[in-house]
Amino acid sequence: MSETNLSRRSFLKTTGTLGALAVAGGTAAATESLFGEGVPQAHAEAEEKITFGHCAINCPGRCFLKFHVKDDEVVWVDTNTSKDADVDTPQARACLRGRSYRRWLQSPDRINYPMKRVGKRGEGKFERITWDEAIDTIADKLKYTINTYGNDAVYIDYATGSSATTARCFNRLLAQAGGYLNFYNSYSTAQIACITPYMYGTKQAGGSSLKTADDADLILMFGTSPTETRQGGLTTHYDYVQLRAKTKGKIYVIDPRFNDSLTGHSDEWLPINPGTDAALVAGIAHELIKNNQTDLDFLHTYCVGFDEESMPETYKGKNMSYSDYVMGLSSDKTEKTPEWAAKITGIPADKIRSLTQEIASAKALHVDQGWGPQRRSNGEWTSWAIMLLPCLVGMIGLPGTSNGTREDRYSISLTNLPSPANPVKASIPCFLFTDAIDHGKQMTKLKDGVKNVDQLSNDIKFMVNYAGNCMTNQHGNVNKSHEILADESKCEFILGVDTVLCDSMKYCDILLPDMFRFEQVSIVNTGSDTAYIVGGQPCTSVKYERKTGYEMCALIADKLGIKDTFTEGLTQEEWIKKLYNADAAKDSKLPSYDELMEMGIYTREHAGKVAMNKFRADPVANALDTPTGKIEIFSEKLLKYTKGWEVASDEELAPIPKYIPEWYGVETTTDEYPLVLTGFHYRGRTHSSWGFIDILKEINPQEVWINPTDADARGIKQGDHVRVKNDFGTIDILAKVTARIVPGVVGISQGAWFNNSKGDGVDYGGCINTLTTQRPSALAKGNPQHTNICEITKA
Amino acid sequence: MTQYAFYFDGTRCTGCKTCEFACRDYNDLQVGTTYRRVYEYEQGETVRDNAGCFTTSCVNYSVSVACNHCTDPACTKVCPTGAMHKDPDTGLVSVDTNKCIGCGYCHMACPYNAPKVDREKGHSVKCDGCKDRVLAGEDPVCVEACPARALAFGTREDLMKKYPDAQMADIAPLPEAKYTSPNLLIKPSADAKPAGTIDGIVANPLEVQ
Amino acid sequence: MDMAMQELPLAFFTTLAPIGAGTFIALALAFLRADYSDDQFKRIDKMTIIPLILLVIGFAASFFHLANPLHAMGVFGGLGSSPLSNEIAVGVVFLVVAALYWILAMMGKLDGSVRKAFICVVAVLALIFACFIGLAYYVDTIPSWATPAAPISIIGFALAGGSILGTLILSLADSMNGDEMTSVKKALLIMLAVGAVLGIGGASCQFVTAAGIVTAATNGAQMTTAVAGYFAGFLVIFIAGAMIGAYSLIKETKVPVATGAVVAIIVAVFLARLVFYALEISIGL
Ligand SMILES: Nc1nc2c(c(=O)[nH]1)N[C@H]1C(S)=C(S)[C@@H](COP(=O)(O)OP(=O)(O)OC[C@H]3O[C@@H](n4cnc5c(=O)[nH]c(N)nc54)[C@H](O)[C@@H]3O)O[C@H]1N2
Ligand SMILES: Nc1nc2c(c(=O)[nH]1)N[C@H]1C(S)=C(S)[C@@H](COP(=O)(O)OP(=O)(O)OC[C@H]3O[C@@H](n4cnc5c(=O)[nH]c(N)nc54)[C@H](O)[C@@H]3O)O[C@H]1N2
Ligand code: SF4
Ligand code: SF4
Ligand code: SF4
Ligand code: SF4
Ligand code: SF4
Ligand SMILES: [Mo]
Repeated sequence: MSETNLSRRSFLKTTGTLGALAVAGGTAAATESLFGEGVPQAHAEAEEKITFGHCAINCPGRCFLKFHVKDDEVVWVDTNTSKDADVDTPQARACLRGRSYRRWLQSPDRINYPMKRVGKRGEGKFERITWDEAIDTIADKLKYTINTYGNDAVYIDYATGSSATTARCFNRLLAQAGGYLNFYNSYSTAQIACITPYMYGTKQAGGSSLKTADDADLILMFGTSPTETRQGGLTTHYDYVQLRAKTKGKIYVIDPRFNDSLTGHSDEWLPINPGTDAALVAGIAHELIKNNQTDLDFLHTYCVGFDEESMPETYKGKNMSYSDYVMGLSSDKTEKTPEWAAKITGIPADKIRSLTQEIASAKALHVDQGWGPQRRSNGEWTSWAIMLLPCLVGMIGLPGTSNGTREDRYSISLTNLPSPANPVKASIPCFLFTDAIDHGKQMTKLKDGVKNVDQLSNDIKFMVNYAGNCMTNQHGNVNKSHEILADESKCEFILGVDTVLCDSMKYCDILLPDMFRFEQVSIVNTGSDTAYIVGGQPCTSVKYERKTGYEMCALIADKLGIKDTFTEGLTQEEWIKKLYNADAAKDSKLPSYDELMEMGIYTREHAGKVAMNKFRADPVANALDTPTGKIEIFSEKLLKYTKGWEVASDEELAPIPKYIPEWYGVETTTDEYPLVLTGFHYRGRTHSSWGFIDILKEINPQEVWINPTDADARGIKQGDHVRVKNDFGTIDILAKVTARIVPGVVGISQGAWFNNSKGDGVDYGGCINTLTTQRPSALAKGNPQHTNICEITKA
Repeated sequence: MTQYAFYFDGTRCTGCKTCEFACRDYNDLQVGTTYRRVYEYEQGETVRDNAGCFTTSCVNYSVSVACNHCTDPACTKVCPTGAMHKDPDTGLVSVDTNKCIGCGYCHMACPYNAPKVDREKGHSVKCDGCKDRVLAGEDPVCVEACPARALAFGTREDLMKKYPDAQMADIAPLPEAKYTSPNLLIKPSADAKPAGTIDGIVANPLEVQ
Repeated sequence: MDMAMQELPLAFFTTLAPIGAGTFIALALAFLRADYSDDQFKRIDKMTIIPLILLVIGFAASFFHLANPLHAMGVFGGLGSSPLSNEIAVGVVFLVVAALYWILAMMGKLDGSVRKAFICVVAVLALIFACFIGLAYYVDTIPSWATPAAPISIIGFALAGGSILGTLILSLADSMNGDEMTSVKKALLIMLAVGAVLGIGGASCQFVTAAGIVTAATNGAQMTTAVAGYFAGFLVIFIAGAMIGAYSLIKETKVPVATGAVVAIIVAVFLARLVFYALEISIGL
């Protein structure tokens, strides 16, 4: 250990060279100390009131917020707490970001008025306009687009900044206005959500509740950091800490990065090369098969495709089963021994063997996976392989087990603001929206995964970006997105609705100032081991000329002549009440609307769910909704679905969960870019949300994690400014030199605000998407944003 | 005399820093000032052998510390004005802003990096144990904020009764408790190394300034 | 060095105050060793404003170090327990007595043995003050400071700086050369030598002590390496200043040479003080 923290302590609040001297002469003591504390305050203390609300950013917490308000301004933000709550009292407590909401709410950078763009797209120059002008322009552009190109040239970009029962009002509006081009997938789960139905079907595919792992004796957490990515609320931060305190099971966290969930539990870390989990599973399978430790009864009764015996008739005799792949009988003629897996995964063969023995001897094996392993170029197969692991030893549907998908999230169902069926049927993978702007008309079913039509008949010409930063900052390859979006002849009009000028908003032609969900009436539902609903009222009166999304849509609807269709004569609050009352009528345990608003939060406990226990108990009566009704380790459906697809030479649409090397991965680094770069979701932000809050940035610096081996080789020390570069761009970022990441791999948290303001082509914000690609994964056509290679040099 | 104290459960803390930000919001602290810090202690290495395989001895854990309202405070001893004082009824150590000259000696002396001088305010600032809340029968804001329930607050006696497995705050990277007798009880995680261990480092220097 | 820069006012104070104070020790030695004429005393007294000015600047700097100078009167509240209160108290006593001495001298109210006795009191107070400046940093929890080296180096700076500034004052007052001054020069030379040894020795000890401290939060070796250049600068300039000072004491004392020595010593001590503040290493965080 050589690196330490020089000059760590600073005497003053004001830091920096000459700080003391600079202020020494300049600042007189504050008035308070000049006159002492005894001086009576000029005005009487204003009355403090408390309002309730919820966090609405895309993090499953949806935490309960308690606003302390004085003089119509929030003075501090509390959450779901009470003095008597002990460790076993579930409370939906906000995280550090929720606790910093006031800085965002009251930020001088908030958008307060409608604006129109006056500079070039991306330049960030805007001018205040009236609501009338804004709404007229939007309605005119929409009508023009529909008349000139058709409704399928209208698009609502993937965006996750606002979650509540009435947060999807633009979908309702545009569906009522004749429709819009659909998207499928999400940036969160494209690969795993695509592959899971092939294996488990859709209806019974969800994982077990985390708390059921109390009964497990071995818990494998693949690529997940429950305390980081479900930080507040009553979600997995709390659930995981509870589990860890209670379970008798041994936990392994399999991750290239010693993630924060391992803090204080270091022996649980099993470091692995990113993108190679399927090779680990194959190595384990080899060992299990060799030692006759697979649960063949289970594999033959409940699954298809494990071995020759359980292959579908038409594929028998072709060495296409998973077992043949593992034992070297399939086309590659390679045995997937622990030695083979060791080279790829970086996990020593002996460790793979001993882990296999732990797996084989576990009475209850609980396999849980996050979405890190699947947000990759081979993510479909990686996540599939992880799901396969418990099947190999029959650890499905029994107490203490899970099925290798993500842990269950128990929540109380609430109805959202309804949208009529979208008259436009065509749908694109959300990650390909820049392609659809650039050359939508060339996008096809076989090449680009377009659904419901063979080929798009329009490029995107009119786009709505409501509560999202996925046009640039959160999408792949920011520099390329810039080129596509900056060209006004391509997407002719972009409407942006946000609270601040995030990078994507700089490309919008009209900006509308939104209100946070806690500045309006709002209800949301969520949960994990425990379910809850939060209902809240505005914390202050409406400030400046901000409006709710619902009001904006109603104004646009009015201009389009469909106001009554849109509102049905109701305000947003009336909708929320109506929808909730209908839900409460179906679920008698729910509090009344008024009670909910009085309580702020309604919590419901739950015994915990064991994934697929019904299927396990009776696989015939409770058959899965896969083609065979069984767990498909070999998917004939996948083969059929992808028949005729154009496949690149470095990809493969395998019908089994085999290891497929990533195209920018440990096996495909180059001399120019010898390091693998993997991303992760960071506590300092939810994606790019809060990414500009200085107080959060101060304590959550944007850093690249680099192992001392790689840092030393490049003369890099803790805290150095470094340049991370690849074919897509260059970022300037601080180095975190740490044993918390494996050699050969570097890690950068996603979501930092892109900043190329110096004009030298370098992104000084450290946004990882300056370095990511727009090439989608092979099957899901999803975002492989954790799959990257790079080189790092000292800045 | 009552002596209030913090309890910190190192087996539960995840280093999330919610405690710190809850405090900063409640006390309206701007960039440059914080009353609570979360230190990340790291030791060991993660290496790759010739076969490309990893072995790791990496140990990493977090400790959340504010002012420990020490029984034998270094800060009050050096304070030239008596502004830094220990309340005889609660044992909480706080700054009398009417007396403080902002000389910074408390900052220098405190081995927990707790007090800082705020030039704009004209005095030193630090955690006061949320004394107003405590006197009103509530818990400190940071304690109530922790999503992992790793923090508790109460009289030292009560805490010792409630958490019999808690120890003196004698784990790295904290200084040995003997210097100031901090009123911080810790349940160490299995990772925790004794105070004074020098094989490891504070791994997040930028986050604890 | 960032850390030291934050303590810039204190670095000024702890540079100027010891040197200013030490000058009175030099004057005391001179007055004990030689008989000056009334005219010479008049000229010397006039020049004695220089160390007083340094002291006042030093105190002013320390005052500006405070975030709330308006409460400064409270600084004596910790007398006895707080090393800072003690330092300031001793400093104030010293300053008042020194100023009184000077005023009375300027008024021509001090002659013969009264002057000698008075200046000796001032000199003793000066030594105590220098000691207390160093002791102010004797804080248990900061092992890089809590060593005898801290007060010793300050005493050294007071003696070395004082002898050289004393030399300058005496030569400005045209009272340094001539056979009758040989014993004064000898005394000042010894004072300079002792000061140089204590100053360099103390500062070096402190530097080495700091270099050996390792905690989870700080690595003394790295911290000293980072400021080694400044420390080397201190050594070189300090030795050069001391040698020039010695030269001017051994040979005929000339104002420009003595001035050069004074400037060098002040710069050197200032560097040493910056290094001192840069090497604040807590036992903890
Ligand atoms: N604080 C915070 N919380 C968030 C978010 C946020 O931005 N910030 N975003 C929210 C949203 S929308 C989502 S979708 C989720 C995302 O949740 P996840 O997708 O689960 O989160 P990630 O951080 O991308 O990945 C989880 C872990 O997987 C590891 N990992 C990456 N690749 C691999 C691999 O190939 N193999 C293995 N074994 N591990 C790998 C990463 O290092 C990381 O520690 O988080 C949600 N929660
Ligand atoms: N490289 C890389 N990129 C990724 C990921 C990754 O792992 N790696 N993760 C991906 C994932 S999983 C996701 S879900 C996406 C998320 O990407 P986005 O959906 O773009 O999420 P945010 O970046 O949080 O942007 C949310 C926006 O909503 C705004 N907002 C917040 N509250 C409100 C409100 O009340 N009203 C309005 N109108 N706006 C509001 C915020 O200011 C912010 O600009 O990012 C993806 N991008
Ligand atoms: S960001 Fe997530 S964890 Fe934090 S307050 Fe919001 S919903 Fe809760
Ligand atoms: S809030 Fe709790 S878990 Fe998070 S850093 Fe603080 S003590 Fe640790
Ligand atoms: S932690 Fe520091 S500031 Fe607090 S009482 Fe102890 S010595 Fe004083
Ligand atoms: S800054 Fe204030 S509280 Fe701290 S030692 Fe100086 S006078 Fe005392
Ligand atoms: S007790 Fe209060 S002042 Fe102290 S750290 Fe906690 S919240 Fe902040
Ligand atoms: Mo996501």
